[in-house]
Parts: sequence; structure tokens; C-alpha cells
Amino acid sequence: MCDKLVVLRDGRVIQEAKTGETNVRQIASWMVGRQISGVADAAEEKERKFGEVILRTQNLWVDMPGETVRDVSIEVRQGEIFGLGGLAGQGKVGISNGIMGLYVSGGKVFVKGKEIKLNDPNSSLMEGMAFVSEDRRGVGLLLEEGIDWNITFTAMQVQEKYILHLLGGLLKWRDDKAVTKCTEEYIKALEIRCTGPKQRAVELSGGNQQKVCLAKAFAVAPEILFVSEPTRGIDVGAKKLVLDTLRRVNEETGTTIIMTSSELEELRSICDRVAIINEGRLSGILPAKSPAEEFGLLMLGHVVERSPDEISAERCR
Amino acid sequence: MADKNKGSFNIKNILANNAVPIIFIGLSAIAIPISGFSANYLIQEMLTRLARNSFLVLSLLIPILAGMGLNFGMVLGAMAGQIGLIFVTDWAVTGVYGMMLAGLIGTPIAIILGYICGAVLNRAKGREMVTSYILGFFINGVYQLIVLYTMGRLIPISNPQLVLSRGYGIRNAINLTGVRHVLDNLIPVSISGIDIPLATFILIGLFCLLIIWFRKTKLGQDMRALGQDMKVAEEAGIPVERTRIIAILISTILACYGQIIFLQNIGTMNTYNSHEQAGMFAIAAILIGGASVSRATITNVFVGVVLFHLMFVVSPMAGKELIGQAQLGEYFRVFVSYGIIALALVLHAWRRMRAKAEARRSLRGED
Amino acid sequence: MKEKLQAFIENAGWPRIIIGLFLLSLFIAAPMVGVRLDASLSDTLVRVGMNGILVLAMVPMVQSGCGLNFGLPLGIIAGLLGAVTSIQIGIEGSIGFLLAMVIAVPLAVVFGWMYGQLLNRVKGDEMMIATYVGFSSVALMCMAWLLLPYTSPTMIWGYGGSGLRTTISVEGFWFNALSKHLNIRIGEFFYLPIGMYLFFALMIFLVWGFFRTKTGTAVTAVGSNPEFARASGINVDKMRTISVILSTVLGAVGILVYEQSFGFVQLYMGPFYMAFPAVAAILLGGASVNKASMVNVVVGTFLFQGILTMTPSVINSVMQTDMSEVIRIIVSNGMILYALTRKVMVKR
Repeated sequence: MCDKLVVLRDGRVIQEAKTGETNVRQIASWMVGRQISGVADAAEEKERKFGEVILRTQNLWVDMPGETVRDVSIEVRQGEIFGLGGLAGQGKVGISNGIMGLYVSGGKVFVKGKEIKLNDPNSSLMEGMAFVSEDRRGVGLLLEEGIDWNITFTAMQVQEKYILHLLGGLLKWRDDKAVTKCTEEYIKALEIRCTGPKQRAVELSGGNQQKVCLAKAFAVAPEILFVSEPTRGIDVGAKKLVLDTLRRVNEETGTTIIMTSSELEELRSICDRVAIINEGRLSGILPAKSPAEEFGLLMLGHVVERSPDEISAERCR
Repeated sequence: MADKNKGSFNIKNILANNAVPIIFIGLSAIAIPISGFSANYLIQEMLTRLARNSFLVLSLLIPILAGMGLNFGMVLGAMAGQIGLIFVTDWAVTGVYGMMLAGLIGTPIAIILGYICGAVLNRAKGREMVTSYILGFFINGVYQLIVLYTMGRLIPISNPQLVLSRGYGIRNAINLTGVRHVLDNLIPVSISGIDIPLATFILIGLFCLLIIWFRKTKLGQDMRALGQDMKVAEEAGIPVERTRIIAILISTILACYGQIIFLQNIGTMNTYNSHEQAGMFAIAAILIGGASVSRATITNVFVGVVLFHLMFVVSPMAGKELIGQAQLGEYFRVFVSYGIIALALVLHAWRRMRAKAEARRSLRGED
Repeated sequence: MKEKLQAFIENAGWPRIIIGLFLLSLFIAAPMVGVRLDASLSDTLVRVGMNGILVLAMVPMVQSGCGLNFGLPLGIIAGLLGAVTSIQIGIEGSIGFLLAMVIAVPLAVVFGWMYGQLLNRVKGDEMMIATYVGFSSVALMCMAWLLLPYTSPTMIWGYGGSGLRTTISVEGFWFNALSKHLNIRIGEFFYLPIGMYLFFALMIFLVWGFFRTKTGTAVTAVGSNPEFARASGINVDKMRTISVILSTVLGAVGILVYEQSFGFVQLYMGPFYMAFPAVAAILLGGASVNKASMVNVVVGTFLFQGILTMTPSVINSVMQTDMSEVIRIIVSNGMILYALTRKVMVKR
């Protein structure tokens, strides 16, 4: 429809071109940028073994304002690092939010073959799933409370960790010593820069806040970990640590990780397979090492390829 | 199919939006025959009360327009008006001049108090109603400090009839002989035995025209924008803090005049109590008239005053006839006054939560 | 040292410090104007014990994000019903007091549950609605007090009237049921009802303990960030209702403790404004609109009751006037205003 187009990425102009002189493939490759080398090759060396299908969605829809999911059916294997990518507002963020019960959703979701109850965060947590939300400050943290509360809260409530059972189980008393100990362990493991376990979450930098959110999820020892925009708004060093930690947890404990991100390179560097969501529907799933423009194509959705001659012919009419 | 749905939706909507006045009309329809009052008596009462109270209730319109909720701080304006009346009575200025002088004295006080109220409310965005409510109590304390302790000592009061026996402090009840019924009787009109305070109504009518004109001015439109969405208004360049203060200022000044009109009709002033009830009754009235915390029209004001005061006049007698105890009717009246505010606030909050859910559902699209 | 002082001032806030210094100056001035210091101190401490639990009742709802409980009259009404019914049954002494509580608490649970359901449907406007729900219930009970079939001669209007009196004496029933145990008397004017304090301490311990349990932790999280709590699987509405029930029950117990020390049961419009001193006291103690601790309760009650006790006696002696009422209004409402305007939280 347009005469000229401009491709922007990361806030810079990548390429300008007359529409008639390009094709969709080229546009797609400009949009997603050059291939990531090195990291992908290193991962190739280790044989990745996966188990059975651990999570399956069937016609999942999620009513999340701005990230509506209309119809998504995917299968994730145990031990995989599965990526969810796509353009902003197309629904990729809604999938994990919906499965974890934070927004109204419907359709069917099966964990280890068993259908689970939707729209109930407690139920999703009890099924061994955990979520690191993209909304760090809104949903992910208790800003006014200390790091210790933030890290241990979910595990305490859902799995009754850090609880002393007094009076023959009638009284569930908060074990502050265990809370502090666990917090200190995570502070060390994730290198969280803080003045201590009691420092309020609001005083931490973005990167350290994200580490706290990760620790919160790890404390639950989930079988399926949803991570949404894990490196958004944090510095390069923290970014690397977060991604390395996720990879390590996956290798050491076999936790299935489902990662949602707007940065395609990030997904391609760490995931085994990446699904692209467009207009709330699944466009396609590709192995992470597939060429970048194939992902770009999926992101653009269903596009009809027209040759330059057809376009100029139409204009003359 | 879509049209049919819209039709039934409309009736349900009308019922839901006007639940409060409808309930009230129902209650009144039951209570009036029980109480045994004559139509003539009721009409006279209603006319008098309309003239007396409408101005006060009208002063609530502007803050609602500006999104600041129910201005419980209107008692501040009432207090300013009362101070004006105290001085006027002391200096024995009578007639319409007395009333105007009271207004003149009250205005600067109302401006100061209104400014304080507006500034405080700006620091409590999102909690305006509770804050203005407590502020009313606080300034009441300061008012008592001044009227009960400094008047007669630091502030000279020459008329000994106004002062307590101990030598300072104003008495609990003052006879406003100088300005009594001054406005009401300015243009005496009587139709088949029912007195109509024409001058007061003319004043009220003028004021309504003023409000209608105000809504069309830039300032009025600014306030409307504020009331709908503070953030958007701010981004559009409207000086949020200043406009809010102006809204409260106007409301307070109008409450000052409204209280003077109210008191000139009653003829006596309860120095320490008259203003407290003023706020509560005005708010109950406008809510009964169908206004909500975020939307109020002039119709709400008049319908509300009539319905509220109808209930006010009728319930003690109705209670007495029904159960045999007049005291019960009194308490019923108190219960209704507070209950209706509670009900209106609950309905408003509930409707707000529902509207948010509706908006999200519509964002989902044509699915 | 200077930093510590600065930190203390920042934490405490200037209004609190000003009021604290004002109170101190009153205590110092007292003997100079002929007011007995030991009597004043004793009075203040007794009033702290009397009012403390009503202030404590504010804590659960503040912690869960329901705001300041202006609807405390609901709990008070439950307590009043318990008191009046206990007197009707006529049992004396501590057993009578216990009976009043046994009746009041279940009633408070029911009232609290209904109140909680209402508050859950009006998130964001709780405080205003709480105030008017409180007022309406008091007015409703005014009608009820007239109609309920109580017959005990000490309670109803004399000369064959029907309906309960406005003020009912508990003397001869359970007056000082708590205060009479273990009290300390030093000289003629100093009197410390340790029994009442022990009970107050017990209540504080119970509330403190509650907030260290799993449920209490969840309630605090709901007040801190309801979205976070929901994402962690907490039923936010249920936690809020629990906090409201707890608050209402404490209100019922609190008024009973108040009455056993005061000596009278005040019906009709008595409970009308009772929420406000409690709100002012806890804010004076350092609580905010969504965080309150046990320290806030004790410090706040002491400061507030101190001002209430000392101002009339000292200032009246100095100026030969009774300014206490006015000062009380200004101080208590001023404190509430300060708290409401401190953090501009637009939680819509």
C-alpha cells in the first residue's frame, strides 16, 4: 500500500527502501537483524535431552488488556527452554499470565497430562508452576517490604515452607530465622547487591529487583517456570547473570522454562524452540537456530507475497 | 436483535442509575398517608425548605464537576457565614443591608478557609471526601476556639445579649432579629394561603443560570475535564492544582452565602451546631436527588431537597403512628439521613468497579 | 549521635514530636499549678488501659489495606449487645463480664463478616463508606434499643416505661471486673489496675501473634500489594474479610473493657463518634493509612489519653477556662489530617 518504507529497530533507522523494490523476506531480515553467532554454536555441542510433554495448551484464550490471546495450542516438553516471541501487543505476554491465573482465560491447559483449573493462581502454583512477571513493580514485588519477605512469601503461602507448626499443627508460625537464612543464600547465589535481607525492595536497582523476583520463583522449586521479559530494564551485567542463572537452573534441576521476550536474539540464544505469537494466535514454532528472517516472517503474520510488477500494475489502474 | 437488547438495557440502566430517588419516592409514598399531614401543609413546608436549603446544596455542584467528590468541607463556608452574622447582629445592622453586610464579612473568611481546604485536598488526592470530612471537624475546633474564647475578649462584642454570662464567648443560640426573614419577605407573594418567598427563589434562579453559564466558560470546561480524568487534563495543560483550589474556593464562598440565606429563614442561629448539620443535610439531599460522587445536575439538587425534606418532615409522625413512639420516628429520620449517604456511596463505588470491568471487556474486542 | 537524632525525627514526624513535647510540658507544669502529678499520671495510665483495645482494633484493617476503621461502631454495638444481655441475665462479677464477652464476640464475628463483604465490593472508598455505615448502624440501633425486649429494672426507663435507658450502670454487676484484680495503690491518688493491663497485654500479644502466622503474613501482603498477593495464590477478599472480622471483634472486646472501668454502658448515640479518638490515637502513634504496629498502638494511646487527661486539668487551672474539648477536637482531627495528607497515594 505504501510507496516507501522505513525499518526501525532498537530506536535506530536500519534501512529505507521503496516498497516496490523489496520483498517480504528482505524486510523481515532487516527487522530482526543479524544472526547471533558463537553462543548458539556452543550450545549445539551439548546434546539436549527432553522428556515427555509436560505442558499442553488447547485453544487457550486470555483476556489481558493490550496482550489478548485468542487461540493458542502449544506443547512444551519437560526440560526444554521454550521461547515465546512476537511483536508487542500481539499476545505473547498474555499466555503465561493466563496460564498462571492472573487474567481471565479459557480453553484447556494440561500439566503432565492432567487438565488444570484456570483463573485460579493458587491452583497453578500448586501444580508446580511459577511465574516471574513482566510487571516487576506492580505484581512481582512487595515494594515496601524487605527482600526476605519478597523471596520467601510465595513458597511460604503455597508450600508452607519457613513455617513452624506449633500446637500440633493448629498454629502456623512464621519462622523468621529460616526466612533470613534462605534470603541470605539467594543473595549470595544471585549476587543481589543490597544492604541486607531486610532492605526494602523499592530501594534496589532494576537488576537486583529482577534477581529478587527470580529468587522468589526459585524458592518454590517449580517444575515449570514462566519468565516474562526477564531482562527488560536492567543493565548488561545483570542481563547476563539472569540468563546464565536460568540456563544453569534448567541444566541442574531439569526445570522446564517458558520464556517470553520481545528481544528475539535473546530468545534465540537461550531457548531450544521459539514460538511466535501474532494477533493472539500461534504463527509458528521454529528451532532456535533457524534463520532470523524466518522468525521475522512469522512475526509479520500472514502476508501475501507480491512481485514488484504486480504492485506497479495496480498503481496504474 | 441489537436494538432490542439496547432497549431493555436502557430501562435497567435508568433504574440502576436512579435507584436512590426511586427508593425514596417509594418510601415517601408509603409514609405520607401514614403521617396524616395535609397536602397544603406539606406544600408550604416544601416551598419554605426549598427556598431555605437549595443554595447550600447548589454549592456542592462545582466540586463534583471537578472530580473532587462530595465537598464535606462546605461547613467551612457555613462557619464563615455565621461569623458574618454574629458581627452583623452585634452591630445591629438590619434588613437586607444586614444580610449583605454579613455576606461581605463572611466572604474574605470563606476565601481563606476555602483556600486552606483546597490546598489540603490537593495533598490528599484520591481521598478527598474523608479528608474534607475530617477537615470540617478540625476547622470546627478552630471556630469554637475563636467564637467561644476570643469573642468578647480579644474581639470586641458590644451587645451583651450575645455573650455568655461569664463575660466572653458567644451564646449557644442567637436571635437574628435584625435579618430574620429579610430575604423571604422582600417580595411577599401569597397564593391561596401558601407563602412563597419569591425573592429567595429569584436569587436561587439567578444562581442556577450562573452555574449553567459557568459550565460553558473555559474554567468550567477545565473543571469538567479534571473531573473526567485528572491525568489527561494535566497532559492537556490544565493547571490541575490551581483549578481544584478554585473549585473548592467557589464552593466554600457559596456555602457561606447559602448558610446566611438558611439562617435568615430560620431566624435563630445555633452558634455551635447550625453549620454541622448544614453539610450533612446538603450532601444527603443531593445524593437522594440522584447525584453521584462524580456526577450531579441542577435537577438532582431540587429533586433531592424536596425528597429529603419530605422524608424529614414526615418520618417522625409516621413513626409515631406506626409504632406509637415519636422518638422512634426521630431516630428513623437520623438513620435515613446517614443510611442514604452510605447507600449512595456504596452504589457509586460498586458502579465504578463494574464500569472498569465493562471497559476491559469491551477492549477485548468483537470476540 | 546527630544522625540518630535526625533519623528519629524523620521517623517520628514533626507533629508527633510537637505533641510529645507538649504533653511533657503539661506534665512538668502540672505540679506548678496545683495539679497532683501522681493523680494525673494514674488517670492517664488508667485511660490507656481502658481505650487501648479500641485502638488495637484499628490495626488489622489498616494492615490489610482496608484503611482506618471508621466503622468501629459496628464492633462496639456487638459489645453493647453483649453487655446489656449479660446484665439482663443478671450474673455478677468476673463471670458476668466473661458472659458479656461470650455473647459479644460471636455477634461481632457475624457483623464483621457482613461488613467485610460490603467493603470488598467498594475497594478504594472504604474509609468514607465505613464512616457512614458506622453512623447508620448506630442510628438503627437507636431504634432497636427502644424496641428490644429487655426487662431488667436497672436498664429500662423508670415508671413503667419501655425501652432501654441511655446510660446503664454496671455497678453491682461487673464493674471493675478486670481492674479489681491485682491493683497497685500508692498513696491516696495513685492507682494502677494491673488486671486490666494484663488483659490489654494479652490482646496485644494475640494480635502480634496473629500477624506472625501464615495467615497474618498474607493479610499484611494484601495490604502492601494486593496484586502481588493474588499472584501468589492468596484469596485477597478472604484476607480482607478476616481482617475486618478481627477488627470488629476487637472493637466489641474493647468496649467491654472500657465499660468495666468506666462503670457505665452508653447506648443510643454513645458509640456514634467513638471511632475518631481511636483513629486519632493510632495515627498519633505513628501508623500510616496502610501500616500499623503494636508500638503505634501503645505510644499513640498514651500520647492521646495523656493530652486528654492533662489539658483540662492543667489549662483549666492556669486560665480558669475549660478549653479541653476544643483542644481535643483540634489535636485529634489535626493528627488524622496529617496522616491523610502525608503520602499522596492515588490508588485508583
